[in-house]
Amino acid sequence: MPLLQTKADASAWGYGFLGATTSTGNFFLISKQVLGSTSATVTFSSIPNTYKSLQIRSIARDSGSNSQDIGFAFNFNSDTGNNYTWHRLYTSEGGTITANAGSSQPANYMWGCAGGGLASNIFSASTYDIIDYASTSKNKTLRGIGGTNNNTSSANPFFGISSGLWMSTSAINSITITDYTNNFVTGSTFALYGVS
Amino acid sequence: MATATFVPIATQTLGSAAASITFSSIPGTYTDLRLVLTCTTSVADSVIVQYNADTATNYSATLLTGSGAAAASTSTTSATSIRLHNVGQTSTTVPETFSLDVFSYAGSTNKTAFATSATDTNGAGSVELTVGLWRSTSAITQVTLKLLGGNNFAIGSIATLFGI
Repeated sequence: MPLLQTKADASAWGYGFLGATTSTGNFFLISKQVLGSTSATVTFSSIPNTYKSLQIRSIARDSGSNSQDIGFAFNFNSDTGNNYTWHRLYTSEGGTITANAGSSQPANYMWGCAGGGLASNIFSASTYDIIDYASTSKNKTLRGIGGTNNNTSSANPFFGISSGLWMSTSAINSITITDYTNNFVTGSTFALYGVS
Repeated sequence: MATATFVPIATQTLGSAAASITFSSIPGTYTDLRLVLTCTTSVADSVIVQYNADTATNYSATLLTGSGAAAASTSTTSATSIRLHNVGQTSTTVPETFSLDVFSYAGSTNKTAFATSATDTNGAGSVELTVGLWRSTSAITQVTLKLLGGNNFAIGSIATLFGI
């Protein structure tokens, strides 16, 4: 195949397609957690305030018997008050499209985590973006895309897009991700990146 | 400062029409991959992706589409590729934009990826979200983009593979 260009330094172009901050080479790994045993929560703490945006990338599966868990409950700075709202738009493998929302919630409930009822070795994939997380004057918006596929036409699992609002102007310095109903299984992986 | 990542592995800009775009010998040193494509095609068609030259029925996908006033959902099972279009299609004149995120591509789990795509042709077009599964625990060392109908990507189509 004819090539006119190789190895272009196009990091900004690639990241910018998902609408986040763009700058060549400014995507930094802050912390990566690969679960060595089941765990109900994953926490990133002492997050530096030196970036403009954060992105969490994960593969995950939980210990329940369902094909799909609602997924991830996000809490910031250990705040479990009813300071969160969320919207979700998602589809099942069977073709059912659903939109729902919650207000004054104790967490941002975001899609989506593969359930233990899926075929073995299948994990969900997700990204979550938080723009201007270090602001001390703005509430914080979370955007997620995630879910999985199980090679069926069943009522689940699901895949979709989520948004969440944390009604706080505090800078985010810790993020706790909790499995909604069960535990994350061994091998679930969560990586936190900063974008400057 | 933390470790910089999001590294362009390779970019391919087509100097002539081609039926496929392949990235091979992908190093296993990253956590995830992102493939970004902007393309026009010889005939309106649907973009598909295959890994490691596997053309067996090891792929499946769920697609959520908005094209005008309606939302639609469909799925494919035991397919020979991950289909990235449902009702949307590429254009012969207007570039369409894709990003495909492949998670834990070098790991030992089955491989889940998702894609976003956008196209608009002043009266038609779509936005789509796709989640795709490759039922293989092999590390991904090759990614190939094709068109479902066997048509060609046009001159000037650009694909870049990033390691994250």
